Amino acid sequence: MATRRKSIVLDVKHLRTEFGTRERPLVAVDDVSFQVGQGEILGLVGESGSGKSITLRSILGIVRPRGRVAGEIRWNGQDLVSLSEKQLRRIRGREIAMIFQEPMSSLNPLLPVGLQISENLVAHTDLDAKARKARAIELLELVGIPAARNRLDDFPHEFSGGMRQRVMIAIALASNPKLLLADEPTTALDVTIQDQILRLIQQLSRDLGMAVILVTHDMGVVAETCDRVAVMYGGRLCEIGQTADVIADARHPYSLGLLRSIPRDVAPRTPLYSIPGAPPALNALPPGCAFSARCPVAGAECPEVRPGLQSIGGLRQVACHHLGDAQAHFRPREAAQ
Amino acid sequence: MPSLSYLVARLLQIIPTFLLVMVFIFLLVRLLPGDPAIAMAEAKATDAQLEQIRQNLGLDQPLPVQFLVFVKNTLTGDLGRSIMLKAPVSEIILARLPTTIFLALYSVALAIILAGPLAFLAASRVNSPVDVAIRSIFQVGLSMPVFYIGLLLLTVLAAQLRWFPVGGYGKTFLANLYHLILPALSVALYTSAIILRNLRASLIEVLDADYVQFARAKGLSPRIIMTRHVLRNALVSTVTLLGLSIGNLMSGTLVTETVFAIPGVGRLMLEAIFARDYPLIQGLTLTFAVLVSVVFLLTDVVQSWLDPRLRQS
Amino acid sequence: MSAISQSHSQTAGRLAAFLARAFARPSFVVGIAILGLSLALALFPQVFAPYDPLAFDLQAMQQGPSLAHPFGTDNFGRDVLSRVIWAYRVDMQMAFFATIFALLIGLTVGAFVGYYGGIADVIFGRCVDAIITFPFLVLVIAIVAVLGPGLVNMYVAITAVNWVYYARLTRAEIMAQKANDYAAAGRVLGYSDRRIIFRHLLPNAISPIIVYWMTDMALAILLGSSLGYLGLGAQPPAAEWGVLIAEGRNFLMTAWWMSLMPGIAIVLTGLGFSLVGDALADLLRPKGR
Repeated sequence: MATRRKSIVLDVKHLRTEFGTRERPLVAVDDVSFQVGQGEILGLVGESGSGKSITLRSILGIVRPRGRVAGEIRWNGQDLVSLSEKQLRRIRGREIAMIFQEPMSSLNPLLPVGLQISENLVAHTDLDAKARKARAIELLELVGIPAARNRLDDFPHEFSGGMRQRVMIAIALASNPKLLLADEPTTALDVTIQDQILRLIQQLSRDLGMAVILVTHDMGVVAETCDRVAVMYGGRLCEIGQTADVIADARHPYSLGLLRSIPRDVAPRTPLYSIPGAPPALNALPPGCAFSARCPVAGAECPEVRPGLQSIGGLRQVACHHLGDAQAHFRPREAAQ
Repeated sequence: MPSLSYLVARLLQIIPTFLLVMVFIFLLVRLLPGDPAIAMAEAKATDAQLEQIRQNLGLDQPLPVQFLVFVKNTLTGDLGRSIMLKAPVSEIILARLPTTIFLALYSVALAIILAGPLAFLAASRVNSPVDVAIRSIFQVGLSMPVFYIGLLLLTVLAAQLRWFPVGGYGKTFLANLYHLILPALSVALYTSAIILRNLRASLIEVLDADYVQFARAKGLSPRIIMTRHVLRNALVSTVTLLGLSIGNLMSGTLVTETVFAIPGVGRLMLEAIFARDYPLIQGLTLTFAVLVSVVFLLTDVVQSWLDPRLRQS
Repeated sequence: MSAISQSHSQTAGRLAAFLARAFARPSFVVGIAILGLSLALALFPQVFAPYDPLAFDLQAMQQGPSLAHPFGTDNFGRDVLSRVIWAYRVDMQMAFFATIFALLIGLTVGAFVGYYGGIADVIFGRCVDAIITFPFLVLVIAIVAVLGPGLVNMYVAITAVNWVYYARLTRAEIMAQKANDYAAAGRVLGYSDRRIIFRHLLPNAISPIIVYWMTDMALAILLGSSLGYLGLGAQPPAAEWGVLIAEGRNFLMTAWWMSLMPGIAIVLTGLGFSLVGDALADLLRPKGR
């Protein structure tokens, strides 16, 4: 289960986040376990409502509305779930940072960008004003903002969308975090800008030795950027493994369905495939496999019995009762294509 | 800080409005039946005095010229002479204006003190019993006329319980704070209901905003998040509202001054109306217009200081 | 023929659905109940008032609240409750007359200015700025100063200032509606401007105006009673809540109920209008705006 070459920086064990009443809770993240190695980029992929964003927020303890987080999150020798709010604050922004989807609404429109960067520095470092200013300029240059020195006093609305996202990354990086949680950082951007931002994240990860968990609903993004990928559905993990492996040789019916939906080498006017049905309501999940209602190879026991994550070799884990059937169902068709 | 050009542009915008106001005031008196000179003069004025007034106002000149005379007089501070008090209008107004301004500012301060923390409480526990209770109380407050609140406070706190004096006006700043607390409170109650409604809605919106989440993810302390991120953003629309309700504030001050017998310009206006003291009425109306315009301008300036997006004109 | 009757039953159906939703809201129910009571008291005071409001009873001067006189008696021995009830007539009239003309005038002006725009709009804008620069009450008082105190003059004064707010609202609504397709369709069909404005645009724009009217009536009661108190509105010996309160002003120490009881009516009725107004605002809010 351990990732071989790199050391593990984040070890999430049986994470469970729920909302609402204790009697009938809405379980947004259900028994999710994974690890992240140093400097590694892990993709967390799934449809909206699959619990990916909430997983990230649970790691940092900023779940909203108030939710209950259970399980164990080992980071730097501590269990984040057991830490107090005050202790968590010391980790947020400094050891683990997070960036959000909408750069326009994630930056305070009333404050200049330089201030939003140095806030982070004030909270987590001892730098004096001059040093903070220098660091802010350094950060803006690092993320590729031209004429950084002159832009410290500019406000968010004076930047373009892509630039704003870069600024958000600069703010997140201020205190040299070892892990970056990126919640759909490119979804709100133009396709061309998307590419630039993803390149940037990759480059920063390599240069700074920073691990990244990248949440997205776009398998294409995962394919380009991530070292490993975890597929989520209904708040649960379906499949996790090296990106190249999962994409070339997916095992879980949901992953297979997702990959199938990406039009690759198809003739013009071929009807596109989409997984039939809709994502489940989080308070109406079956006790068994969350995907069973839409699964083409589901058996009678699937809605009743929860499949656990099994290792199938090569650092791969899948949670499904019918791996063989899934292969048979999806593979022959692909072979025919 | 908003730029100088912005300030100048705003000032220039006021001028056409102000001219209209002047026209209105000018016409107000001249619409009355009868000889304006008699209206503007004391009851037992001699013919010579009437003639003096006619000359002063330029009543023998065509109307537009009269208006220019009026404007010139106003700008040089000559607002005529009060019939009832037998003194220059400008002097009378200047003597009483500080009282009214003090009362108004005091009311605003009290309104903010009342509404601020409660708006926070309500917003941080949306739709809880606490929230509903707060909103209901203020809803009832909005339905109470200022004079009634004043009388209630007067009766209960001053007459019955004798905690506060019934009226009067003190000599020192602290004495005034004590004497004027009931009148200021009467006006404040109404204003605070308006502030509460708006601030609560703003706070609910802001507390849920993405940038607040991002600030939390940065590991900032709750104090900094509250002051620098939440408050400032929530205040933007509330400040606008406060500025716009200056009209309400002045109306309330007028009524309160009457209820509590305070020597301010509000009560003076009422007395002037009953005495048909037209020079005084004219001067007071102008004063109110100036005050309101200044407040609107200040509101604009504060708003654009708070929100840099508004600075591009 | 059937199309017309069909649309009639459609409208009836929609109305029924709307009423069902409205009465599901507790704030609406309370507000309507209060208004219903107020209307009843205004229309039939003789039914509800226990005593003749004008009857002196020198035996019973300045008595506090009791079973016989729930609101006490005033300095002439008159029953305060009865006087408050009889005052409903005047105050409810005030709420209506102080607002309806402003609404009608504002609606017309706002509709034309909003539809035609141009130089009329610019002039209108400057007028609005000038008028709202003044505190409402001060302006009304200034006009009353010229016209003299009295109920009718008060209506005139209030209407003269208030129409601007209705006009501004109507203008905004008409401009929004004008951009819709059905307005363009009307023009293409060759309908006259007047027909488009009054038969098509206004009915769709009317909801926010009605909502504002409700809250405005609450404000009108506050304003009217304030002016009554100051002696500029309804004149004694007419029974009006503000006037009643003014009459009790000198007896605050000895007979506080003279001033404080009428105030209850003001608050209650004002609450009724604002509750209904707020509920309507929520109910009539177009989905997805």
